[in-house]
Amino acid sequence: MTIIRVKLIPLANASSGMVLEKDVQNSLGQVLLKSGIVLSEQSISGLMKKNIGHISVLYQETCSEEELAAERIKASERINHLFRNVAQDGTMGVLRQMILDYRLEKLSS
Amino acid sequence: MNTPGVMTINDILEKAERLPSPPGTIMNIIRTLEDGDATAEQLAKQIEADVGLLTSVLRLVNSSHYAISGGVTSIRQAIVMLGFEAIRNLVCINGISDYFHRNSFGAFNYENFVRHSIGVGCVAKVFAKSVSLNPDTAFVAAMLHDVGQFALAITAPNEYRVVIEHMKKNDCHVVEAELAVLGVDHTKIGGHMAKHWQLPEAICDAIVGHHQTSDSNTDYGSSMADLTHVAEVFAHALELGSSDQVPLLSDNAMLRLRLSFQKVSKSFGKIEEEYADYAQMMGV
Repeated sequence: MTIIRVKLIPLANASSGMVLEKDVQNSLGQVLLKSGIVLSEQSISGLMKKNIGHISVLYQETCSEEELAAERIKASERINHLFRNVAQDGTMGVLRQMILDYRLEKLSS
Repeated sequence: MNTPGVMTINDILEKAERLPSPPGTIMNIIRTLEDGDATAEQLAKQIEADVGLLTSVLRLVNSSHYAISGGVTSIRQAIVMLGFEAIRNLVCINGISDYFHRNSFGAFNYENFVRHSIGVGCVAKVFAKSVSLNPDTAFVAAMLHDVGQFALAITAPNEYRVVIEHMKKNDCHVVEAELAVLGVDHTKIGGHMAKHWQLPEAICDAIVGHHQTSDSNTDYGSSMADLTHVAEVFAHALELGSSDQVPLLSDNAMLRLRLSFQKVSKSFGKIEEEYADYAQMMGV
């Protein structure tokens, strides 16, 4: 199956066809390119001239349901490790769940 | 522990006091963070008077992070383009990172340390805005919150290696390991240094009060201490910088700040982006 991921990449690694996930702004907050725009060679070189460092793009990745499930397991094991020395209920339990939800949301199909 | 050959708490405090402080210009700029009367003109003069500082600020504002077309050639232009607070904050964060870098020897791991400090800083900055605290002071307080750990690793490197071993062997928190091995923890050493360096009160509070326990009634009477504590827990939970375990979060600190999980959960993406930006800018 195909999943859409968001990735922050250096502009040097951008290629035409990539879709902007966020508006590209300069340091003064002026929007140079709107989110949702498909990048072209021309727009990339325009951003390069403006010294933009990183952009956030959407990209498709073909990933089997099994691979995705494995990544979800890996993410929750990591959370279990980080929270191993604190109570599983109460405030720490809620915090743990909140972080887990945030991680899993990125890995949902 | 007071065995012969092992440093006493007083030995450590005395040695920590003799450590060089961050440069005078940086310390003076940090002291203006909570001063409503500080002006852009004063900041420009302070930076211009220090060629090394001027060069590094111009290098940073011309980095890809700020993406200013045409580039910036003077500090006054940088302040006009990016704002007084942004430049002041950049000077402080870069000055502190640089100070730790130049003094990194002994058992001190500069990169892990600065990554963690920046991680706590990004959370503190974002949360500060929702609890009406000064986000710039919050970031600088976070950059300095573990200064006691830095002092311990530099002044007592052998003892500090034992602390790290104790922590790994017992799978415990660093504060527990410091107390077991040295009889003192980094918040006390850091607080001592902060006072000696005459840092603003809010930053001293953050250094002393950033470790709190969930069930105790520890109240340092300082919102900056509470904010730094909460930010540290979230930085570990989000794995900003090196992290191996999440410390306990004090309900009371959250209550005093009137901060709810619901309020903070929407800001994780923004925090991660800021972290990636700052870590890249500071080269860690």
